[in-house]
This record gives sequence, structure tokens and C-alpha cells, in this order.
Amino acid sequence: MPGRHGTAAERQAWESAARACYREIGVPFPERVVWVSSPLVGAFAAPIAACLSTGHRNNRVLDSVYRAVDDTAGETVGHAVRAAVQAAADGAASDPVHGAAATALHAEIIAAVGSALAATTASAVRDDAHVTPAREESLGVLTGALSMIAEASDAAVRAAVDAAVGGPRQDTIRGEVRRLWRAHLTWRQSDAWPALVGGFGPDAVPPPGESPSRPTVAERSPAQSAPAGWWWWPFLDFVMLCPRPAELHVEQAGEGPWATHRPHRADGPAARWADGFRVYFWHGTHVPQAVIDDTLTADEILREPNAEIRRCAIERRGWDRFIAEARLAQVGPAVPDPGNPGQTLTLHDVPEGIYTTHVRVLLCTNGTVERDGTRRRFGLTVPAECTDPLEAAAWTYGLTSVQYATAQRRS
Amino acid sequence: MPTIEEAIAIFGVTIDDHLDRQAEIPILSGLQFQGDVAVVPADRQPARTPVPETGVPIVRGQAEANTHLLLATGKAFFTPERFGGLVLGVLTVAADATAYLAHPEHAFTGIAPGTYELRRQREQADQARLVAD
Repeated sequence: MPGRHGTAAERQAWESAARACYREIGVPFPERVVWVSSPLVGAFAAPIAACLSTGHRNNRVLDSVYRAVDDTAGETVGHAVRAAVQAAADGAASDPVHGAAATALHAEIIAAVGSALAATTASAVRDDAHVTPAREESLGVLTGALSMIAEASDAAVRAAVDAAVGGPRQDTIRGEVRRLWRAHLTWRQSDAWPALVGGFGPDAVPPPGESPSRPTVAERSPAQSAPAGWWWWPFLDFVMLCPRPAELHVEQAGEGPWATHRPHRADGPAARWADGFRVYFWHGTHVPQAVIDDTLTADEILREPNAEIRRCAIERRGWDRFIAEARLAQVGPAVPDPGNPGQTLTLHDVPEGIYTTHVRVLLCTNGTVERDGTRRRFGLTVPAECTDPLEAAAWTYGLTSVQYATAQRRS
Repeated sequence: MPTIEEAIAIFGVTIDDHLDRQAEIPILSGLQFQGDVAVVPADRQPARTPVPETGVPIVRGQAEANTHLLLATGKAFFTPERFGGLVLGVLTVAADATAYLAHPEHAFTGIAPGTYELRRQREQADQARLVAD
């Protein structure tokens, strides 16, 4: 899927949608609108700016916060955070009501948007017949892949922020940054936002008695046509907005009307923001970069505590290599693959606990040559009850061993 | 037995350019496989829905690529299995007709007259799941 940068029009649409949310709760839209380059930058910059706005100006402590950001997120991110903080907090200290400046508006906005969503959903359902294929597809991407990316970014951002300002250490700014971040600034609290932008959400069941004709944010604003984005930090004195990823890679999962899109990329990050912040996915599962870069040892893969990540790491590496590297014991002798002249099938034991169910793995060879003249070898997991390669191969198609042995050709 | 080149000319589908265009496509009535799809001779009620000239996508690959497309010269019929799963549907190839499965990476699989189940490969994951190649 081609990446979409935060173009001027896209930013305008986003800002309009944000304005509508402020209007909904009766709060004047702040003068300072700051665009940040990634969720990571915003997650650091928003609480720091909010702290400074309340008058915390201890430079020594502030420096230590910035150094912590540099140490955990790198200096490029650190510079972007400083710039965003400057843009958001400048002048706020002279504000006579600066005490209120640190008030994050998420809770209020989410409550307002929540009720607006109910009506939006009702109208989306009514308009179902008019949904065009293109619109349908973009909704599918929105509600599926983008929310998976958001969840993964949240985990990555959470880890980075915790590493920088978490832990037992307490000082004014650091403690306040952590408090603000935990209280208000995770994407979860703004997940009504993409739902609103997309026109509906999974949790948006209209409450009983809710009148769908009540004017709502969605009806009064261009939010419905706003581009997909889901990270923002609304405060009284400033609002920070983050464009959607500059690059987004998804794959189709399922077929026909059940088809959805999920993030996936085998040779790089599935989502990357303009400043380099990135998240990695293997067929819809959020994984560490090392899984996609394929740099783990077989031993590290075996010791990985998360079964999903373990499975992804093995699949990314390929069972043929993993079987050899992890020295998985062979079950029974190799047998010729019926219908695939010159190729063999082997069955290998997989230690319990690698997958959540006990499996064996059948190593097969493609019937067709690859571009480079080799044949692709691949592993298929089969029930641990399979006792020989033929039985395992037959099982994968729901055949008996006797049936499978009659195969005439494999292409 | 037509060559891959001839089949491309008949159906207008493309396959990976490294595959030998002069190779002949065996027309078989026994069990055969095309990647994650199996053609299984079956004693079943013949299918009645004609395979259209544009073909029937049997398994759509990732992002619309790598689809296993069912095509035919002469009369062939395909009834998809209603609830999905391992059996994709029933294929009946009339006498004198030939059905083909076309796939960019696997080229063509030729199917002789008869009735077959088209099946899909599965794996044992947390629950058995279908294989996408």
C-alpha cells in the first residue's frame, strides 16, 4: 500500500476534525497546534510541554529528562521532542491561568466523541447500501490494520517512555511527565478518534434512548472525510497532532467479503513514520525487529517466552533452516514425495512448548522451480500424532496415506 | 498436451517469466497438487455450474496475487462448497473437455474429464489453519 505523507490537505482535515472535538466539549481551540513526526515524539513532547506550561522550569531537571529521552529514543528523536516542546510550551509560562494549562482533555473529549459515535454508527448502518467498494476497502484498512499498528506503536512508545521516565526515580518534571503520560496520553484513550474518522467503531452500540438526530461532531465536521490518523494529544493550551505513518505495508487476509487487511512485511518495518519510528509485523503479529531482520539464534528463538513471537521467528527463518539449526530430531526415514520426482519428505519432532499445541513439522519441497533455479523448501506443522512423513503429508489435505501415495504430479 | 505457451495464448493469463514456456502440461485424471491446492478424484454428485470464460478464482492469494484460477476448454462445471474448509468445491470436467488450474508461480495443472474435489492444504497451528502459498 503506498505510503501517504501528511500533506497540507491531510493536515487541514485532521485539524478541522480536532477543532470539532474541542467545540463538542465547549473548549476554545488552542492557538498552538504542533505537528510531531511520530507517536514517540508526541508521547515524550506532550507531557513535557504540559509540565513546562504549569511553570516547572528547573533547567537541571529538564536537561535530565531530555538526556533520558536521548538515551532511550536516540538524539534524532530527542531533537524533535525539544522542538515540539518549544513550539507547544513557548509563552505559556506567562499565561496568568497557567495552572490549568496542563489539563489534558482526552477524558472529556472521549466522552463527547463516544456519544457522537453512537449516532454516527446508526447513520453508517443506514447508509450501508451506498458504501462504495473503495470506501469499504478503506474502512477495512482503517479498522483492522491501522488499529493493529496503533496498538503496536502504543507498546513501543510505552516501553520507550517507561525506560526514560519510569522507574523509582522521582523529580518534579520526570514524575509529572510519567503521571501525565500514564493518566492521559496512551492511544487507547483516543481510539474513539479513528472510529469517528472512519464513521463507525466496534464498540459503538447506540445507548438505549439515544436520539440519532442529535447534532454530533461527525455531522458538524469534516471528520468523516479526514484521513486516517489516531495519535493526538489535546490540552487546554496546545494540541499535538501526529500524521499517519509515512509508509504502511499490509497484506490481505481471507477472501471475498471476509477479506481484511493486516500489517505485514518480511524485509523491513510494516509501518514507519517520517522520523524513522517504526513497528514490525509478521502476518499481523507485532514482533521485535530482530524477528524480521532474522538475526536471532535458534537458541534465542527457542527461549523466546512469547509463543506467537516464537512461531513468527521460526516462520520468518523458514522451517528448513530452523530444523537444522535447532537440531530437531527426525521421525522415521525420509520418503520420496509422490508426484514430486526426486524430492523427499521428512518429519521432525518439535519440542513441546514451542507452539501452544504439540506439533511435528513436515519438511517438503515445492513442485516448481524458483526464479533462481532452486526449489523452495518449506515446513508445515502437523498434529504430533503423525508418525511418518506420508501420513503427515496426507493429513495436510485431509487424505489417507494410501490416497496420497497415488499422486501423479505436483506443480 | 498443450505447452505452457499455448495455454497462455488461450486463456490470456500470465505466469512467472522464468518458467519454461515450451514445457508441456500433463492432462491427468489422478490425484495431483498445485501448491496448496489438491485435485482429488471423487465419487460425488457432478457439479452443474458452468466455469465461465473468465475462470473461477479457487483460492485467492495474498493481495490478489497468486490466485489459483480454474479455467477450461470445453465444458467444465464447479460448485463451491458452501461452508468453506478443507474442500473448496466439486469440479466436473465433461468428456472431450479439459480443465486447468492456472497460478503465476506454479503455471498450469491440466485436469482430464471426470469429477473431482478441489481441496486446500492445512496446517496444525493452535487450531488447524489453511495454508497460503
